[in-house]
Amino acid sequence: MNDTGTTDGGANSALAFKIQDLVVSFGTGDGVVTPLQGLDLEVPNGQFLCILGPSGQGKSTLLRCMTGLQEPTSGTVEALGRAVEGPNASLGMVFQQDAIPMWLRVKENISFGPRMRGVPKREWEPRVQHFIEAVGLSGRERAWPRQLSGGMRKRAAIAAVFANNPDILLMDEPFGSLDYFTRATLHNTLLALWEETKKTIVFVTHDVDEALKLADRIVVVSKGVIGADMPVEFDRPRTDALRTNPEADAMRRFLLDELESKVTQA
Amino acid sequence: MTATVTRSIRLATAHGSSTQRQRRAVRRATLSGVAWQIIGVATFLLVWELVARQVNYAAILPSPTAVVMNFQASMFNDAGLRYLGVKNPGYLINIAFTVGISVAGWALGSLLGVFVGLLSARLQFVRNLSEPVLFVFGAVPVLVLAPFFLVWFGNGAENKFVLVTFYAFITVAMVAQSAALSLPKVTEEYAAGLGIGRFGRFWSVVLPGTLPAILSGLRLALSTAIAVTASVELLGSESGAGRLIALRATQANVAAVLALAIAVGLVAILLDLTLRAVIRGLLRWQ
Repeated sequence: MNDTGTTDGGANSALAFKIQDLVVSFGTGDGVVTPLQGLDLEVPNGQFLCILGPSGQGKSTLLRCMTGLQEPTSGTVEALGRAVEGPNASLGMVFQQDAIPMWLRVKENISFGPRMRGVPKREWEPRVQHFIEAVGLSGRERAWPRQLSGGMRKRAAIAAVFANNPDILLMDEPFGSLDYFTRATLHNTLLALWEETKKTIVFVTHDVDEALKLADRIVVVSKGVIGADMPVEFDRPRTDALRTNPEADAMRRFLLDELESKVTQA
Repeated sequence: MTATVTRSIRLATAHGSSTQRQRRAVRRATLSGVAWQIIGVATFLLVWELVARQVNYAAILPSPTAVVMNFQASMFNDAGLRYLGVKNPGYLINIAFTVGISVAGWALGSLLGVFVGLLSARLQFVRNLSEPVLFVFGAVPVLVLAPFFLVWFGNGAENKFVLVTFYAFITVAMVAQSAALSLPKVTEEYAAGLGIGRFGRFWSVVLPGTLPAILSGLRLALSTAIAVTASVELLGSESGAGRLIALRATQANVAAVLALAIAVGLVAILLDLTLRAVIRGLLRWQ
């Protein structure tokens, strides 16, 4: 057992995720809604995957199934070779909304997971300190979340998830509510942490430029299945030069056309 | 380099002085608030004294001075009350009796209320079990229920303790349940994603997340508790401030009635101020 509460055996699996024929249906007052309609997806270990799609196409439902927060109607979701049966410490989550407890100071928030799981302090303390520094929150350890800006609270959430040492990070439009400049800075912070830890990241977004900047691979979810699946092989770090790269521009146009057609059909 | 340092110092000094200015402004506003409160109370007492002197009939409107003198005279012992069969005829001991029962009942009822209210928001069967009782009995006025408790538990401390516990439980349980039901799910899901189990999430997310609402419920329940105890004592009791008020009212001793009522009110305010100070400490994060 490692301190994420999982067995180490699973982390050796070549696939972070293996999803087969995933169907999710909800009964609503007006009938039945089926956001996922037999979706298949494999995510190799260490990959930075962006799930792209307009609203209402099933991308957030897919992420909730991957985290174990949503039980599938049928089909299977395996993480690191084991069926996902509920949220656990090996699948760290970052949400769009402010999810960190507002009643804990920054450092208490970042050490929240390991402390509550009974990890000895000598184990979590150096890691927590490292991620506080890595996300640029040094000197703000004793601040309350309300005293931080939206971007800083997001930094705290990211540091808290990394400090909990999950095998995979799942992020649901984490920077959706932030301004352009804060988002750009947080992209760099996240990429630096990803390159340092080599953890698998599944990142849901509806922003094509964000996906092109971050991802190793982009999949477009449309009508509950994978509509497009493409590798993103531009060199890192991806700077503003990516905007004028003809290959990136062609990819951007393709993805925008894909998204636009789904919105029109919807 | 020197220019930059000088500018930084200037900025820091400006920031420091602006913080001090803000603190001074807050202090001035607080002081002015307290000053106005004192002026308000003093004006009320002055008007009361003047009107009482004009009326000049203590059985209708005793002056504040007469009220204070009455309290002073009967604070520890009152021969008239002893003559009427009151076991402990001092005002203070009877006020302490009323407040003591209220606080004890409030503490027990609130504790149970928090527990059941939060649990009922998370477990459907607890909600089904408790909701009808909470809603039905929460709507019944205390003066309707009090006679039953008097019959069941007698006119000693027990009936008031049980009644106060019951009302504190209902008030706090309803507040806690509604706070837990309206708590955004995202923090609980985030904690689940950190590997924190159901029990851990209850203590580390649900309880602190609902604390602001629960603490407001505790204040409400405390003021209700004192009112309930005093009201039940008016109906029938061996001791307590309410019992003394009832006796003094039959003697048309308005000064004594006012002295006791104001004293109970002041104790309630003191308890509320103490609770507010504790709440301020617990909710620093807000």
